[in-house]
Parts: sequence; C-alpha cells; structure tokens
Amino acid sequence: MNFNGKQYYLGVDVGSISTNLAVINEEKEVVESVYIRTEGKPIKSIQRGMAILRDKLGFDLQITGAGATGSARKLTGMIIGADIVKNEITAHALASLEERDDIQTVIEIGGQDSKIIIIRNGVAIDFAMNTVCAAGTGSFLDTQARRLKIPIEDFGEIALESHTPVSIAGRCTVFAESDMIHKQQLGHPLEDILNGLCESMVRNYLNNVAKGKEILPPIMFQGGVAANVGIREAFKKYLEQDVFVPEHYDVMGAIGAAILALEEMEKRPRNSTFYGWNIPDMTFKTSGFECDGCPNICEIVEIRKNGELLARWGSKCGKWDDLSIVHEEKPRQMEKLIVGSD
Amino acid sequence: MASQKIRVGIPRALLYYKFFPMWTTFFEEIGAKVIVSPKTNKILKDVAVSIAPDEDCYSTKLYFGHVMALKDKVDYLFIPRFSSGGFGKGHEKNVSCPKFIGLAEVLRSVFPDLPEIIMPYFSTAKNNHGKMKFLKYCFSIGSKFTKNPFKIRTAIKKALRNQKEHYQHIQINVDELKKWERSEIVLNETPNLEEGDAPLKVAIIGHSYVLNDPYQSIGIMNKLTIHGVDYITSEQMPRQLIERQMDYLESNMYFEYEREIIGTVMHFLESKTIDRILHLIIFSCGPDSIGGELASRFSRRKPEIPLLQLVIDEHTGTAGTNTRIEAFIDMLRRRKNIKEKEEKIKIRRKIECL
Repeated sequence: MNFNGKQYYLGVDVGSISTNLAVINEEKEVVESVYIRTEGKPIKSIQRGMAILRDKLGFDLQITGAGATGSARKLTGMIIGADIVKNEITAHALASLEERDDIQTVIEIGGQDSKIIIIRNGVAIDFAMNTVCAAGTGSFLDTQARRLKIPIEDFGEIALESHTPVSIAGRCTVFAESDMIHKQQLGHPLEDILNGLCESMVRNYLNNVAKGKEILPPIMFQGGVAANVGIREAFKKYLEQDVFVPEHYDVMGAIGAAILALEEMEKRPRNSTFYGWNIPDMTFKTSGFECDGCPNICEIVEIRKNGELLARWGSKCGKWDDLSIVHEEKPRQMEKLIVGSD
Repeated sequence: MASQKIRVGIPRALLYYKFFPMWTTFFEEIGAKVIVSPKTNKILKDVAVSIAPDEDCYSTKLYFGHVMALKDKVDYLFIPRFSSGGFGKGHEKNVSCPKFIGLAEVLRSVFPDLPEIIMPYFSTAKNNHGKMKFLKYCFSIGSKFTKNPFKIRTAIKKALRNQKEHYQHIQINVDELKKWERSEIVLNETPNLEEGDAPLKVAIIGHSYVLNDPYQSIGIMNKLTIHGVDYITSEQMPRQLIERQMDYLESNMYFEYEREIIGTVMHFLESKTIDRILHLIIFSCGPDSIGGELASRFSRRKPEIPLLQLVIDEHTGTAGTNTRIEAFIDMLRRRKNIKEKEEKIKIRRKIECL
C-alpha cells in the first residue's frame, strides 16, 4: 500500500468482552479497524489484534501517535507504548462527536458496562455508567443466548420476527432466567421470548443507567450490542425516537483513542513512544504480589516486556512505582501491622 | 506516686472528626492518656466488615474496626451518644444519625469483654439537654480520673475553647468564600496545573468522617488535586450561607450533618461559581438516602452545575471510580476550554465592532 507520507494514528480499546483497534488518518477517517474478543486474556488479544492489523496494513505504515482506552487502558498503554491513556467515556464522546457533531445523547452498551453520555452544543456535560450489576449489558444477552442455544449474531433477527413480546424481568440474569423458563414452559415461541429479552434489557438500561437523564435527539447507539437489531428496535420503541447507529459502532472507543492520540500529538509534538508493529512478537508477562509495608496490603502488579521490568502499579503510597526497588518474597507478618497508634 | 496514667481510647471514626479537639483536650487536661485508633487501613476494614452488623453503613462498620484496634490497649473507651448536632442557636431541633446513639450499647452487648465504655447521652433535641446537663456529664466523667473539681472545670473550658478554635479554623467566612471563588486563595492543597490552565472549581460534599478519612474517600481529594482541581469541602462552607439555604426548604431538614450537604449543593446551584459538585455517599447511609435524592433533584432543576454522586462501600474497587473521576475531570476541562475560547471570540468581536 502506498501511504503518501500521510500521518496515521492508532487507537486501542480493550474492554471486558472485546478488544478493538482502529487506525485513522489526519482527517480522522477510519483506515482500518479490528474487532476481536478479549476472552479474558487482554495481552494476548492485543497482540492478536495487532497481528491482524499488521497483515491488513503492512509493516511500512508509520504510526505517528497511539492512544489506549477501555477498562484495561493502563495495561494496554504499557503494551503498545501509548502516547496517551484516557478513560473510555472521553473516548466514546469524542468519537461520537466526530461522527456527527449535532449529537445530543450517546447510548453505549458494551460487554460488561453500559453508559450514557449527554452532549449539548458539542460538549459532554454529563454521563452515567452502570454500577456493580452487569444486567442491561452485552453479557446479559450473551448468557441468555447461550442458554437458548442460539448464536448471538442471530439474536436480533429472530427477535424481530415476533409481534407480541412477552414480558420478562430484566433486573437480573437470575430473575430473567426463571422468568424465561416459565414463559417457555407455557409454550411461548422463541422469537417472542427473545423480543421480550430485548425489551427487558432496554427497560433496564433506561431505568438504571439513564435514570433522570434528559434524552434528546439525535441519539446515537454504539458499542458491541448495537449490532443487535432487536435491541435497536426496542430502543426506538421505548424512546419513541429514531436511534442512529454509526458505521463503526463496534470500534468507537478505539476511534476515540486514536483521535485523542492525534490531538495529543498536535498539542505537544514529539516522537511517538509506540513500540511498532512487532508487538505481536514480543513477550509480555505480568505477575503480582502483596506489599507488606503497611496495613493497607496493596496488591501490586508487575509487567515485564521481554523479561525487562516495564512498570508496576497498585500501591497506595506509590512506593513500588520506583522500578529500581526489587521485590523479594517474604513471609507476611500480620500481627506486626495492626499494633501501634498514631 | 508514680502511678501510670489511665488510658482512654477514642476510635478515629464518625464524630471523632468533628469533635476531636474537645474530646482529646478534655481527657488530657484531667490527666488521662488519650489513645486514638490508627488511621483506617485494609486490615482494620477487613476486621470491621466481618464483625459489624450487616445493616449498618460502611462508616459505622469501620467504627467497629477502630474499637477492635483499641480494646486491648485502653482502660476506658469513650463512645458518646450524641443525639443532637451541637449547641447554640438553630441546633435545638436537629438530630444526628440514630446509629451514633446506639453505637455504645450495641458494642457493649455484642462484645461483653470490652473495657468500660464511657457513654454520656446528650440530646438537645429530644430531652432538651442544656448547658447544665453538659457540665454535669463532664464532671461525672472527670471524677473517674481526678478528685479535683477545679481541674475538671479548667479542662472543660479548654476543651470548649479548642473546639471553637477548630471550628473557626475549618469554617471559612463569606469573604473568604468569595475570594476562593475568584481563585485568589486556595483553601486546601494547591492544584497541580499545567501552564495556561485555569484551575477547575469543584465542591466536594459529604460527611466530615468521609471527607477527612482518605481510606473512605478513596483518596479522591489527592487525585483531584493532581489533575488540577481546586476544591472546597462542605465542611468548610460558611454556616450562615447554609442556614440561609435551609430556609428555602419546605420542611425542616432535621438531620444536623445533612444540612451542610444539602445547603452546600443548594448554595452552589444558585451561585454558579464552580464547575461541578461531587457528592460522596456512603452506602446505606440513612440520612444520605434523603440528602442524596434531594441533591440530585435540585441539580436536575438547575443543570448548569452538574452533580456527580459516587456511592462508596467496602466493596468499592478503585477501577470504576477512577474511570468516573477521570472522565469527570476530562469533561470539565474540555468544557472550560471551549467556554474560554467562546469568550475570547466574543471579546474579539466586540473589539472589531469598535
């Protein structure tokens, strides 16, 4: 491929369920994107994603800046050598605004979190995220689809065939299961149950995450769950408004991270710290230990690239951030820690 | 006679953060050795959560941990039962959280082997306790430690004076608030700013025992300072402004410590001098369930100053809160930058018109 000396930016978004990578050019247009499943191994999935991207774009493509986001953003930043590490809310808001600058509400439903971002006049003014419970997120649908033995990709299509959705409690996967089995035993057809699930998930989202928020059009719906037409239709029905799904709905976080990298490099021009396309060939290893320096017993994570210590985090006091300190395994003396007053 | 001093243990939790100058001075003056429990830490939290009643709020659970950290090291435990907020005008009818009143009794019945608990019951709201009752309690406590009534009297005087000074030190006056709003003075730590950035103004509201305990407030103050936020806490707010806001409420907010919280929210929603309000809520706090709901409703009516409510409990990991706080700061920063740009354009247009 010929790149004509243009500048390219990489964004990586590693979430609980999926790992997304996107490369954009200076005009913030998406050149290539990758969506794969994290499967509980973020480092492996980043390397896999990078390998796929490398096969598509080739070794020669020069990356001017790289950004990391998602719940594994800190780790991701270390592995790719990101220039900027930012939270996913900022990344999603930026990517949505790039897609459509008149957007007022962003609904984002991912694997284990769902969020709403309220935008007015091109600025994010409010946001909310789901709290401890994963109900109303992608994993809820995943679990139900697995129970019914249908592939998640067909979920929405089947649900759309239904005309009379059954009502299912969407508060919790546990309640939803008992409700669903009850409806199955009564003889309700599969499509009605799936449609009921879609509606219960939307209801759950609107009553929990979006509670008290002013949802104004245009509304953008993104994240992995936006692929599900059943959910899209359910949102339209409950919001009584059109819901717009962007072209790259599944990699919006990665696009946002790439835009952040672009902004960062424009603001403070410098050489990128990005490790380059041979990331898939490097070996990364993480290990953890509990610090016994004080009664807080922080859990410290160490990450090594090709055997060399890259970073350490997790301590409250910041003591372990200094990489020159070597950690030695010692038996812990709990009794010593609780005595003494100050 | 080289007798050892009697040791009095005060748990570093709940009302300690409001009244510690008074309590520690009083006991030290009457000749006791005051031992305060260590700052909240993970071991203490784990102990607390495993022994405290399930329905108590996180802060009250931690109190149990602090008592456990003290019990083998002291002769007396001081756990006052304050059912009212304080003395003076305007406090007569207000009450504190009922859990604070029951604490001493609950602890004594659950752990009969605890050292003797000194637990004066003081209530201006229900039992109309006044100054006389307060003095009577002080003397009866003091007589456990000294036979000299004059010593007790000086101790009370000193204790009250120190408490007053503490209040004056913490609470700012209206002038200082105005200065802070114009970024002329810094009330807490100096925010860490990049060149050319204006500090973000945030009010952090919550109970004093949350704001002053970095373990409970998950180090939020520190994180905000690092990100260039200049904050004020609800504890620092001038009292008269809060009382003025309370008059706007349809019914009396009778939870004394909740008044600060609601009052601060109402004040800043009205004055619009800050960028955002951050409300730290402790999970299953009874008064906060009312206060938090009121605060969120008021903020919905005046959406110019957004309100972020973070609910904290023993299971709170730092990951979720970090994401929220980072996003919160990013949002403020972007918003402020755009606002400043618009202002500049406006000024430029005005100049061009001239």
